Amino acid sequence: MGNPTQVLIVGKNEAIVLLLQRLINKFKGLHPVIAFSAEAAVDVIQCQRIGLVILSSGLSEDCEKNIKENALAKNQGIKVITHFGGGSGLLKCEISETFGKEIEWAEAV
Amino acid sequence: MSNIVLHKANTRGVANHGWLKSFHTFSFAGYYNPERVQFGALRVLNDDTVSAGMGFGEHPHDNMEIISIPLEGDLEHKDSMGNTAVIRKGDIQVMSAGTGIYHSEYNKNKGQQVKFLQIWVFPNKRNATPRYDQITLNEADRKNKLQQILSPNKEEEGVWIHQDAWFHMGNFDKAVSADYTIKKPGNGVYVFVLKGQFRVNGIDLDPRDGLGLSDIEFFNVQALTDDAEILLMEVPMH
Repeated sequence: MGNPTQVLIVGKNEAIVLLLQRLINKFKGLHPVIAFSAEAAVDVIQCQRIGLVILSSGLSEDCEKNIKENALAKNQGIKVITHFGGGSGLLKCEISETFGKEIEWAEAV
Repeated sequence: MSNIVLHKANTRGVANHGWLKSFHTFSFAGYYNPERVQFGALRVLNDDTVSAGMGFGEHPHDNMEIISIPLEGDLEHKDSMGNTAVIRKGDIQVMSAGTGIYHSEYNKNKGQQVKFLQIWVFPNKRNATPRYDQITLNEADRKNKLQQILSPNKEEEGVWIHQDAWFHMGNFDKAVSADYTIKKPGNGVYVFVLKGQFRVNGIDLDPRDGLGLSDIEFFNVQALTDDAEILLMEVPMH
């Protein structure tokens, strides 16, 4: 079994970021990393091997653009998605669409 | 030439949690179907039944226009903006989740289930200021005609949301029909039958069937049974 994909969750609403963190932990093969600002997110992107960035709420368009640019500059293969809905409703579908295959829960949500 | 997508009721995703039974027209939570993700800006159409006294505990949302339409019973709502309210058949509730909102929803009755539609529409701007609204509609205004229940404009009839979307409901006697003209060029309409049977654009629909129409300027809905009820959701397609 390979290393889990590192998923960076960035957002300014702390409670929602923490919820997304808990949810990502429940998917097989994914491991969450969180950041509450664009600056912190860019630092994580530079230091860690991130495979997926999830843009949560509260970030300005400039912040989102900055994160995307830094992610792609680090590695063209990093996926960046914008999350809508704030919880479990759309998360599985958003990630499955990004990876082109259905991701599975490791445990019931 | 119009584009048509037909979703028969029995092809929807199903989640049965005991206290909650939910039919998902589009991919939601554990139900994932890459062919059923959204219809334009319409992302979620959940047909929920909540057991007596049960409900959704406090949970967050962001960046989504969330519309609830009760069909039976009483649903109690509480949120982080201080709103506490009960919505029932004839009401419509809207939340713009924006930067983030917490809420809970419970079946207020201990002896009766509650049925409601939970509809999510992508907002036309991210990180709006969260807001909540609910109104009671005059159900007589939808008898044998289409009643507007939602629009993008505060001044118009119904609730409003951050999206160029218009919703209508109608309750028709058998053989009565109504025409619908698209409000904004390029928009599509998702038709959802709540009760009875309808013929829409020549296609016969049963209860809980969904029909998406796009690249179209107008169409006709005709009731095939008495006391037939329909919901039209016009949304941007791009």
